[in-house]
Amino acid sequence: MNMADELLRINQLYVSFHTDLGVARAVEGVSFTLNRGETLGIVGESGCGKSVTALSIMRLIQQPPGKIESGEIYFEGENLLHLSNPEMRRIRGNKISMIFQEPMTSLNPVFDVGDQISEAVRLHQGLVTEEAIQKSVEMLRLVGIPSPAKRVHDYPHQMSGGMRQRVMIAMALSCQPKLMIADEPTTALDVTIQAQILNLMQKLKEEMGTAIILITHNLGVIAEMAQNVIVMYAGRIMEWATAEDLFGTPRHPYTEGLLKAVPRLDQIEKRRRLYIIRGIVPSLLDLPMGCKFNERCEKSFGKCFEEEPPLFEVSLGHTSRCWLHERS
Amino acid sequence: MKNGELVRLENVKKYFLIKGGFFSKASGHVKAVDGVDLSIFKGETLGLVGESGCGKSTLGRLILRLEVATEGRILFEGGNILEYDQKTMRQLRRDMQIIFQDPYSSLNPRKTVESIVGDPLSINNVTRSNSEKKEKVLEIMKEVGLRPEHISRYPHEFSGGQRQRIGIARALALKPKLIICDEPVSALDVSIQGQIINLLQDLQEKYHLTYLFIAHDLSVVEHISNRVAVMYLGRIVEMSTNERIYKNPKHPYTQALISASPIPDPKIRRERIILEGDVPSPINPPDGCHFHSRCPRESPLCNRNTPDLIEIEPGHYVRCFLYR
Repeated sequence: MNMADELLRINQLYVSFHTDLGVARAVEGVSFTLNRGETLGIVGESGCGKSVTALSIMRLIQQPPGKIESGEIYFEGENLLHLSNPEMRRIRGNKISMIFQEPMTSLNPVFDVGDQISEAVRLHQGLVTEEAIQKSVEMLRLVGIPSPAKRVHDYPHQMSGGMRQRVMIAMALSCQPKLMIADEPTTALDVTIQAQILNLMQKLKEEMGTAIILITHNLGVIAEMAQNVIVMYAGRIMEWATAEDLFGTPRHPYTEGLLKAVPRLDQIEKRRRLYIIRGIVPSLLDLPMGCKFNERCEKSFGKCFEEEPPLFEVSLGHTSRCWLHERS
Repeated sequence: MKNGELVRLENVKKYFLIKGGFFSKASGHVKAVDGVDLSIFKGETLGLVGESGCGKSTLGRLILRLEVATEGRILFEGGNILEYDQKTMRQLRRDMQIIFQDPYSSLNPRKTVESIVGDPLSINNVTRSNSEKKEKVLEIMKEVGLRPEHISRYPHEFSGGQRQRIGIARALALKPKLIICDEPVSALDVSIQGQIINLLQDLQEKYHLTYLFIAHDLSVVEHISNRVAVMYLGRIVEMSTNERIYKNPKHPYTQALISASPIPDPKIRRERIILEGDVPSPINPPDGCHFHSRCPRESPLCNRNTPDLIEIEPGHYVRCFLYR
């Protein structure tokens, strides 16, 4: 692999939250890499640690009660966790940007969209107000908002959900970042608007060469957009593979379970029973010993309850955290 | 009423008044439901899909008379519920229940499970003593997969999936004929959705329930429904059996909806129909066919006249000038 292609490298990241009820280990030993221009999907259910991982990259974890216990996050060769606050501020919104799930609560209601989009270019590129507004209009046009010169003075509440999400994308891309993190960007949107937004993200990514980390619990969205996929559960990476390999030959019982449990439009059968992953996600304050998925796993055996498996390489570029692969 | 029909809607409309100006004059209407004809047959699950603002939730509430229709007739077992007095309506409500979307706001946080599930029983004199009430509640809890010790707990002590089970238990308590399921699994994780969907199907078989299943997630609706109706801006644009809607959708909006729903398989690359623009507001729906402004197959006829819902093959209805 060409090292010059590597954009992000996360090494053994541990993040926890110190609460009154105990320490919640939200991210445990997460390591992965991302190349320039790659779209990486991170999928998992509530509480699996995907959002906390993303916020850690942006150093947006509130400490306390959160704490990045250990690990390294290398971006273009530099460890972000060692940067000073001013240095990190030069990266946020500039080299790495983020879009969130709820556009209404993520946009500032008292500033017009032009202001919010131009904030990043004024800060990072030193544009003055006039030029910054022009840039905002350009960005609005780029993200497909009609009559951008008029809409630039709109407030978030004057726009629909889909439009607000486009504004967020405009904000995120205004400084042409190398990496955009999208945390459930379309979950709150209607399905036809979701299709528009995903289409837009794909198009802009191709034009700008931006890498994307796409976080979602929606397997369909992952299949559409991601080249590589990480499956997380209870703070850990359970499987990491190309999208084709993950969906075609999943190698972890949790991934297999998720894929079987999702109703699919292309497999219409007469009211069959949906496959169930028995039980529920364990509380982060009270994780079982051994593999965290053990109690819910159909294929678990003795060792799964004693020791947590490491990630095994199942095939080239495909790893799985499961004792079933110990001899591979 | 046709044979086997439990509910029938005839040209049902619900317009919400918008007040504005100095004297709170009516300055317009939100045309939430704009002329719906629909039948729900005994024992079936009718899926109702559409995006935000299409009127599907309002339609569900109209059937229960939680909102009063502005126009039209709503027949339940042959009688028009809009003509009933309060007393009759109260009796009727035992036969029609609802499960809500948000398991976090649909349960009274100050009531225990015993109260949430049991109060409908004591209020309606189904049980006449506290011990009888408790016994019945325990029975229903077992049906929905809740443990006996849960009976004295409060909603905040449960997970989303468990709270949804409490909501289902509450809806089941009076052994209704019809249950309106208003997005019952949207707020739940994938692995829990399956549990709840299976539970709903099992209960339907056991108690001969009829469901109106309202959702925006096409794959979930496809899975559970016998027939599906697609709504757009207050109107039904297509209605048919499950298989036909998904395998052979006729209305351009239905085609776009299906095309936009992502499939969890990267090898499947479909021809994607991406609609332009946003869903128009139900305050000012476009003239003629409500969908014409976003329709990839719009013709000059479409913005002047409203197409009727026509049966193009047995049991398959479409509202579109492409089919005449």
